[in-house]
Amino acid sequence: MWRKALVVLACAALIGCVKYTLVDADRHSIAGIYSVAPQIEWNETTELGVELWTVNGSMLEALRFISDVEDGDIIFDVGEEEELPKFRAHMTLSEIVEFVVDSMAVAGATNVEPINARPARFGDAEGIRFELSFQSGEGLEQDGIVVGAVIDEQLYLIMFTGVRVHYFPSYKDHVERLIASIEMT
Amino acid sequence: MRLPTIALLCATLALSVACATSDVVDLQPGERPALETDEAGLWMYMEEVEHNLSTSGSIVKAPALNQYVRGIVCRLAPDHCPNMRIYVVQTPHFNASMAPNGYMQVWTGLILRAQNEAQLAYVLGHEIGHFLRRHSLQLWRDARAKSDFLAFFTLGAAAAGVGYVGNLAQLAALASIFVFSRENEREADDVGFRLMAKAGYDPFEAPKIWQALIEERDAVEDEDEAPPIFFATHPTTEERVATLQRLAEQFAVGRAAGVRRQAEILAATAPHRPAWLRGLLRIRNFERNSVVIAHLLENAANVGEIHFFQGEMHRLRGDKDKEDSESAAAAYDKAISLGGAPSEVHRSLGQVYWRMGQSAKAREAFERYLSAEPDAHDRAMIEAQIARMRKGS
Repeated sequence: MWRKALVVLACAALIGCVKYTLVDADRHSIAGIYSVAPQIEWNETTELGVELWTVNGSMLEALRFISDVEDGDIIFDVGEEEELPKFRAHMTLSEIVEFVVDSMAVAGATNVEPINARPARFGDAEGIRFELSFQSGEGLEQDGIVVGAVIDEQLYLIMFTGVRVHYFPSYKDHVERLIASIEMT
Repeated sequence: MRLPTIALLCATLALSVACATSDVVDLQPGERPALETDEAGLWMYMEEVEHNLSTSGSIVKAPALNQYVRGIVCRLAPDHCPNMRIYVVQTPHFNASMAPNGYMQVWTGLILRAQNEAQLAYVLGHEIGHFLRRHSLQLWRDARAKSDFLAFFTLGAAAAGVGYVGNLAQLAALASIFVFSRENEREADDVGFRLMAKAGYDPFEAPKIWQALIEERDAVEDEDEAPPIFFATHPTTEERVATLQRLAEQFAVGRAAGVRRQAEILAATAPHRPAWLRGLLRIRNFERNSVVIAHLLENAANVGEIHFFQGEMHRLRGDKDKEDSESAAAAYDKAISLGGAPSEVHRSLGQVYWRMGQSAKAREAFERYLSAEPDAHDRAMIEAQIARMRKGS
């Protein structure tokens, strides 16, 4: 587990090996299942196997699209897969919240607290929504919003996280409008 | 740490080591290396690493717990105590380490596994042994001689981390900077044993903590999935157990039995145990976690709480057959009857009943959860679940 994670860390520390592509403000398809209106321009990359959009860098704010998670799948590829939390199709709504929180903690977030977990629409689908408070590995206070749904026994999540001071509040309204723009394809 | 700073430190060290000798004597209380030495450069580097660690979100700041761990360290090495900084780090794995400049990391996975204070004292004494004998300086000089000192510092660079991802990797990097030789490990074992025995702890507890780790390793059915307990360069754990047992037998001759202080460690860790167990179960290694939980049940401290986490372990494994759900439900029932479990026990019980198709029992358990936890963060979700069950029934 450590070797793979260290490679990721070393690469990210050197920045040069992280490639970004531009996401313009046009409607954007996610996993061929739904589409969103990005609202603003983002930089797109992949981190730990997850599609990630950011404006200032993932340490500061990150919008993650986690898609096609099947029974037995993990969501953050940090190695030693057999020891990581796995999605189960039979999970209750509360267990999905717990699965997301545990996956974040195993990926390095600390003191992760879910807030106000509740049923919510995900486009046309019945889904969930909750907010998050946590600290990054360096101890930076962060906030987050998670929305998601299980569609055809596969889990889809949109997760926005950002540093509590400035970055999360700066992009929160854009993300709320992006979530409201979800349309199933 | 920023990369230019690392590069500068590497250069400084590379220059300063040119005049270093390989003779290493024990560190004296309050001693700081002379500025022109390679050891001073190593300390300077480790001070930066320590700064990063001290601001990490994983540091457990609870004053009483920190004071408790510090108290053990000071009993073991009273003369050096004023120059040591202790950081309790919340991570479920078994580890502790001590840096050459006098800071010690103690992982909560180690404290959770120590069945009494004597066992914890032995491991902390082992780390103090590395510190007193300046093993990291020897390691650094050996690394320099082999021209692989950059690898030594790359770990520190990686430890700077990114985003919220990789904190455990940072911690592992910080701890693994010092992969000591087999001889160094044997020496630290010996020092750790002597420090704990001299401080009045029961010396027969020293081998028991390694024995518990052997049990965890052996519990993993698939040998390929059972990670080695220590680096390959360390003495085998079986050798350590045998050596420490022999030392304990020799030490005990003609002496009164030492103290274990089980009640003290249980009291100091009680407020933190639920969070540490929650962290342990996030590592979905059912076989190893079963061993840790079995040992905690033997300790007979708040058994209801431990049965709750035993149930959580079964629920989280979540096999599709009913065996795990039934085991989880039985453990939750036991936790409820014994008392001491958090109110989440009712929600968890509801979840496994739901999975078992017993919706009336599930609904009842969810309602008990909401009644016990009116401000639950997932109240709306549980209410929706209850409504769905009502509609279905």
